[in-house]
Amino acid sequence: MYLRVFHTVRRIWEKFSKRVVGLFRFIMDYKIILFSLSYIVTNSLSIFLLGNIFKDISIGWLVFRILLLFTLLVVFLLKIFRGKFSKEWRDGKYEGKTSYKFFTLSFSFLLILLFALLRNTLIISNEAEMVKNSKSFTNSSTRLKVYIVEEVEEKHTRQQLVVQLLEDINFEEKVLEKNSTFLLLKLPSFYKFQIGQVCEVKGLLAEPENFEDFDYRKFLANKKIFFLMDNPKIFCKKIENERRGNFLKNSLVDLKTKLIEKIDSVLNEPQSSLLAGILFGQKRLFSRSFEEATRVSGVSHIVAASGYNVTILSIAINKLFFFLPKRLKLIASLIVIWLFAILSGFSASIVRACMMGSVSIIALFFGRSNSIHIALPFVAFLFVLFNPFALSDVGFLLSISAVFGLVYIMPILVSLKEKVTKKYKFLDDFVLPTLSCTLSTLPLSVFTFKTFSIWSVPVNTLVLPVVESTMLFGFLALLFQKVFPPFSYIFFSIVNVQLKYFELVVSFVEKLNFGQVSLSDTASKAVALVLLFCFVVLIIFFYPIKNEKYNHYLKNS
Amino acid sequence: MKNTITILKILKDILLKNFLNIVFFLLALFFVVVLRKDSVDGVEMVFLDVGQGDAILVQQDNFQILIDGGPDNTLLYELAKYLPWYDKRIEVVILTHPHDDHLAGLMLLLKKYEVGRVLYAPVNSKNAGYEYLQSEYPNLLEEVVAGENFRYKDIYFAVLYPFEGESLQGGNLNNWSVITFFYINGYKILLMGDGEVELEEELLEYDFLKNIDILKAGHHCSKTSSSEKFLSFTRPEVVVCMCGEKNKFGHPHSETLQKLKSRNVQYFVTYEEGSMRFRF
Repeated sequence: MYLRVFHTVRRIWEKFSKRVVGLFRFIMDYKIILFSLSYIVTNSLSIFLLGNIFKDISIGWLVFRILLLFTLLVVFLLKIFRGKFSKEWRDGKYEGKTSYKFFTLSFSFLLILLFALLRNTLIISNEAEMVKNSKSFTNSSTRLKVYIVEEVEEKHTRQQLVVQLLEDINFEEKVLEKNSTFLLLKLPSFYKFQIGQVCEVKGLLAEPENFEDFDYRKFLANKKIFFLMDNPKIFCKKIENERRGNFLKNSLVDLKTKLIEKIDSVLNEPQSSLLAGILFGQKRLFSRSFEEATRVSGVSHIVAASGYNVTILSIAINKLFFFLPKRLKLIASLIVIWLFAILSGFSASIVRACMMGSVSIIALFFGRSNSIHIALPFVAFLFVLFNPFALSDVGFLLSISAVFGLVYIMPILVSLKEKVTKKYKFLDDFVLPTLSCTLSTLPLSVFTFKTFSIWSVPVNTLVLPVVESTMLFGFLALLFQKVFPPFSYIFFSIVNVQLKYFELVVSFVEKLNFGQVSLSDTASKAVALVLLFCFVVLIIFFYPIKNEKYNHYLKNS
Repeated sequence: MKNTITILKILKDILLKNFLNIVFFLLALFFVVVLRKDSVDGVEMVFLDVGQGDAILVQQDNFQILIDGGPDNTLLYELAKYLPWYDKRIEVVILTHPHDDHLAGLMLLLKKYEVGRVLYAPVNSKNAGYEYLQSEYPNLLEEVVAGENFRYKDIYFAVLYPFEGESLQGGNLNNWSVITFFYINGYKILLMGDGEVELEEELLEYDFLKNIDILKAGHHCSKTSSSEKFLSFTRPEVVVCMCGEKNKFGHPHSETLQKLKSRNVQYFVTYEEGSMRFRF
């Protein structure tokens, strides 16, 4: 009896360790994965390092130069070391030896770290500078000339505006350069603003203050916002007279705003906000109670401009063009999701979602099962390269873990399901993707939101098929409004009925009043870590591999 | 024969794949054709549960009067529950006085809905929303004074306060509230805005205010409103208190509720009842 248990455990352990080794071999084999992963790690490391350097010592540049010299020295020494053994090197004598591998790896790691340090120096030094000098900017009331760079974000009590300075401001001792920071303006919600508008603002610059359990300061600093103004006096010029900012972005946002106004002129709340969210990824403000309802039932991602719309879009395209060959379908969805990105006015989160979506589509297109495993870390690397703070952005982490779920958890679920039954194809379409995304985002959402709702999977399953066609009908409704209004009216009616159904499901779940668990601070962290660990182990163990016996990476060496 | 079978097969395939779409299409058609609701039956008055603030909707057919707008966007969600589908026009809006718990929601309404006109009594206020309203929507605004009255089919209403010629400057803005009196199919309804005791005194000369049916008590049933004198003069049958749950002012004040209880007057509080609809 004990022996049998022992043998089973040993077999499992053998399989597991074999797979872990195989995974490492795979990563080592594809240098691009290795590179991406190490850049992501060194990026965080360099931000940490630089942050410390700039905060502790006032002349940060000096320290940085010392670091640079030190690295050059190391490289120089390594060169000498290399030269000494150059003959053996050229003959390839060291090839394959552990010391050689170790040497090359650490050398490239150092190079990548250097690169990351170089990349982040400017940003971090600017941030440190701002923090250091903030006192001299925040004391007196100032008059500023600014323009609006982002779409207005509505909040429950007021609206928030991100603006860019149009000229440097002279304070008594210091100068606030116009490109060194964005400003966040908090204003009452009744004002109407347009992106690109030039405004004159008068008020008191203030530093953001942290909330009880949220590092608001860091959150804003990552967006390059170091100061805010609470309820300043504001006077804006009409955009016909003066408009700044990117012309393309401005006109795209204008187009979107016009279309959303069309929606608002026909549908009531919350249907209009839902449709704007589903069609354009527009983040709109719900009433407090409806917002709570969407959160409890786990559908808040639908209107939070996440990758959800993009996924639905590609599913819908696949269905719509079911007669086309597979490759054409993939190209069609690629085109459509980027059109969607354009329509959303290239809002950051939609672009992110579109890139993720494109990765999986391109991977499918080339049909090589390996390409997705390479593309995923590479895209993550690109994101981190463009925005070094991406890893501290919950939205980014959520969307990347959702893709992770689709790539790594879903195949497991599908193979499990197929062991049980081959019927019920709708499970593959509606339940399993939702389930795998929910599972893969679970550790992170428990960690950040400290709640966990059991409704996410059932509600999403009920809602997903409807949302899919809502997208189609909503689009048609807007299209026909110009061409032939009566049709548009019918399409809007369909959308209205569908979204009423959505509202019904969501409010019903909220009324049930159970199924949501709130955790304490430490408990949520512990639960998240345990979950993450379990998922990693389970994925490594259960991920289906074709012809496992003959797999190159799993062979005994 | 073979071709027909293939075509039938394809048709069946399409039908199955779009089953849900077809269901919703039919449902929508059903709603549009059969349950099409372009107007309200009879006259309705709805005291909207918008949290700590006032918002009252009166409507007949597709004609709407909205008195105040509550403190935030809850108004839009509550309105949507009572307006006919696709009616995105509010014909008359009345702003009793420019405090945020009455005005803020209205300002958002102006962004999303088409509004016919806004009735108000100009006062001296530094409220930013109020200043914005005056500068951005001057052609919607219409000043009203006591004595003016309006009619739409069965809905009749008159403005009882403020009186003409009185200077509307300074002091407690609550006591410059626009007070409206509705007379609908024989029912008398008095909407007090945020009017307090001093304002109530001024109304005691209107004889028709004796024995009213519904009183929207002034200032969210605060103890500074609804004096004994006023209650015994108007003898309301039903009193409505419009307050948000756990508001920081402690409305409705227990003194007021005690007064109502001792007179055996039925009273409703919005945060307990939710939105309340009266049909006439």
